[in-house]
Amino acid sequence: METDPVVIKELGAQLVKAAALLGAGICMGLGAIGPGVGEGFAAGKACEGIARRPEEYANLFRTMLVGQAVSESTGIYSLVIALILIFMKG
Amino acid sequence: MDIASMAALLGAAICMGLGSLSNGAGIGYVVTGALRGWARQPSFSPALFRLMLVGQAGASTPSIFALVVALILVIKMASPDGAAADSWAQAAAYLSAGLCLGFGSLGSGIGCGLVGSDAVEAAGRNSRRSGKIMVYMLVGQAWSQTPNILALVIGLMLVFGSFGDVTGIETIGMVGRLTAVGICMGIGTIGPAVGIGFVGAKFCRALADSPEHGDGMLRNTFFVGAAVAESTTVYAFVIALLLLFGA
Repeated sequence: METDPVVIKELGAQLVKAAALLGAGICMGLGAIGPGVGEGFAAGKACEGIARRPEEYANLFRTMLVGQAVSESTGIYSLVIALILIFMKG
Repeated sequence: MDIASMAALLGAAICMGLGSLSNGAGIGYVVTGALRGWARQPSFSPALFRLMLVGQAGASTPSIFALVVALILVIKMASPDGAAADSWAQAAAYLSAGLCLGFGSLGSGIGCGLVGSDAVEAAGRNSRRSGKIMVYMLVGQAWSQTPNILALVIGLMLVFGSFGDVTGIETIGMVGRLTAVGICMGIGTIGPAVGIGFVGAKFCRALADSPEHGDGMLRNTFFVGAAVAESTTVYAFVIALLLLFGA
């Protein structure tokens, strides 16, 4: 049986599309786990620290925000990669 | 039996199985907190018992969301006009809805359990503040559930959306797209839900240790910290919507 080359090309394009979209989903899904846990951990420990030494509130709060911002970066990398996969190959 | 029905049943099984996995652990975790508080202050045990039951009820809501979607999947599959029964795209949507709510309940189950456990223990440590601690326990549990609610929104869109009209070679792309929606939103909720639960737990504990700062600095830290921890699940929600409505 002869397969039409046009069909094969179309099939390949669809497979690339499916893989790119699936990749975007896995990328953003898994990429959200780490930052979520990490930021929550930072904020929880900040609460603990403020309860112990309320006079250091300003310092602790600032450190918490900076730490969370750094922890957020990998989540943003995932977001960027997912957007690139969706818009370039999807 | 057609492919969409099989996918719906498989999706329902995954949804309920994964959905109750961490919930059991979370509900049990509340009991450990209650027992620790109890040992510290035996005279307060009736009030702690009531608080423990409230905390357990709050901690079991994620599996109720999973149950709702699993029931819809089972009932929908049994309905006579079972839409687009032979469509692989429709089958992918059903399976994806199950993955979305199954993974989506994992994190919230643990997170709500963490909040409940530390709150009940904190109430045992500082029994005069137990009313306020209970209010903030419920706030923390509700907040830990928001990622799960986003997953529920996406899951319901997948279940009630009709994808049966996609035919031919386009089906391959559509199956990838719909599966990605469920995986992205489902797994994307795990981390933030656990993180928010951890913040809520430490906040309840801090409320017992230094109650005079509860309404000011501590609440500020709790709200800001939990809101930042929530951000990545919002990214996952945005990506899931982009995938669902085709960029």
